[in-house]
Amino acid sequence: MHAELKGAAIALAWVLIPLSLGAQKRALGGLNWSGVWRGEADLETVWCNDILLVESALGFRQRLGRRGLNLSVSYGYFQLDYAPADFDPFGIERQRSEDRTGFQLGLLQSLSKRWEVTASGGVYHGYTDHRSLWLDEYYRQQFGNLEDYEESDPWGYNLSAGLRWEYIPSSGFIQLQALFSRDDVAPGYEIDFDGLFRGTETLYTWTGRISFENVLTSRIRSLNEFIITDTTDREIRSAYQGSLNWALTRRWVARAVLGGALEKPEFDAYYFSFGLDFDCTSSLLFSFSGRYYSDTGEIEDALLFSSAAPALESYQLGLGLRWVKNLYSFKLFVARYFTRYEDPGIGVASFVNLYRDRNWTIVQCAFSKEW
Amino acid sequence: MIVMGFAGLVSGCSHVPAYDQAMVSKPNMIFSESPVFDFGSKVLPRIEPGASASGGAQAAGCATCR
Repeated sequence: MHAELKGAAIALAWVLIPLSLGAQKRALGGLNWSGVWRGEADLETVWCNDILLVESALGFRQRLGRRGLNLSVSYGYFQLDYAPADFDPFGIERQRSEDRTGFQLGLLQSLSKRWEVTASGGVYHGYTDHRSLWLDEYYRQQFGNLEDYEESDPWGYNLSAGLRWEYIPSSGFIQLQALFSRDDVAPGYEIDFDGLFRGTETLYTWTGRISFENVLTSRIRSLNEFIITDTTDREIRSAYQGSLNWALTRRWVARAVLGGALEKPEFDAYYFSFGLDFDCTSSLLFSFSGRYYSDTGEIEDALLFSSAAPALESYQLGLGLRWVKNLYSFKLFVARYFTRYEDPGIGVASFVNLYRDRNWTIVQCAFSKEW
Repeated sequence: MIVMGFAGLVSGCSHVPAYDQAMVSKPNMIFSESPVFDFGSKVLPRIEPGASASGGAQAAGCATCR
């Protein structure tokens, strides 16, 4: 099936599924759960002429007095038209598709009026992005016939714990979070006179995050996040993201985000985005947004063979609408997205078609209902 | 240093009473994780390596982030 048609079919399915949530709530009614329930479904489809990326999730949230419960099931689908470099003697063009399923559970417990603890855990099975799928196809075509080659089977899990403190009543919040994740990825391969060597397959990641959310004035709310990440075989990455929402008038809201990341020896990235929301009526909102991203690439030596990504610049412009009526909410967002890579150099020449400039279309839709 | 200074500047210690928070409590003024109230992308951080908080592969998403 053509990539665009498949994306549209999946979109339709995920919009229809939430309509059955009411029946599920009635089925669980016998368990005598009370409180506020919210069911959510979302779908994001991103495509260009040779790649289709789909992310979707179904989620349930419940607040029951001092306790909260979040459940989500996610599904991702990737399809790409693999194209080897012109000089690759083993490469053949091939369409490849994979999917991923994930499950996440989160719990929240209020300790007092101002303190909350959170815990979550999740597991997934499948490829996490199109880049790892492309690289897996490359190594399969190069070394798939050798005895030491093994089929990849990516999966992973994560665990996290957090603490939230309302240090200024209704105006200031601090949240600490620690996260551990284990990921079995599709590894790379190297070959020499001693045979084929399989690269690191299992990655362990520790992440620490501290965030500050503040109501600065009666019109401005801010969120500042600082993140430290330590991953197997990688240097420590530090990242920051600051967000500011400003109610210009009762109908107009401006949103801005500024962020960046640093990782030794030479990787750094920054991005910023803006958005302007207009409340057309009490239930309908229109939004216009833009985004810019730039990084220095992950290549450490341009002359050595590497699958690392070269420097990237990207731009996004989008339009969205949100409709909220009674206990129902719906969002639709459409954007154009452009990725521009720096000339990858001779070391990355085998992946010239992976790191190619592309023009993407993004469509997001989401639906939620409370009971 | 610049980032830390910016963060400190915008965080502040101001107290805005609850009765004066009608405008900052609108759905599009809250930093919500709900996909209906967030125009952020789940896919783009996987294309842009510097926009991803984690250095490892990504899972189903954070269920308890606020």
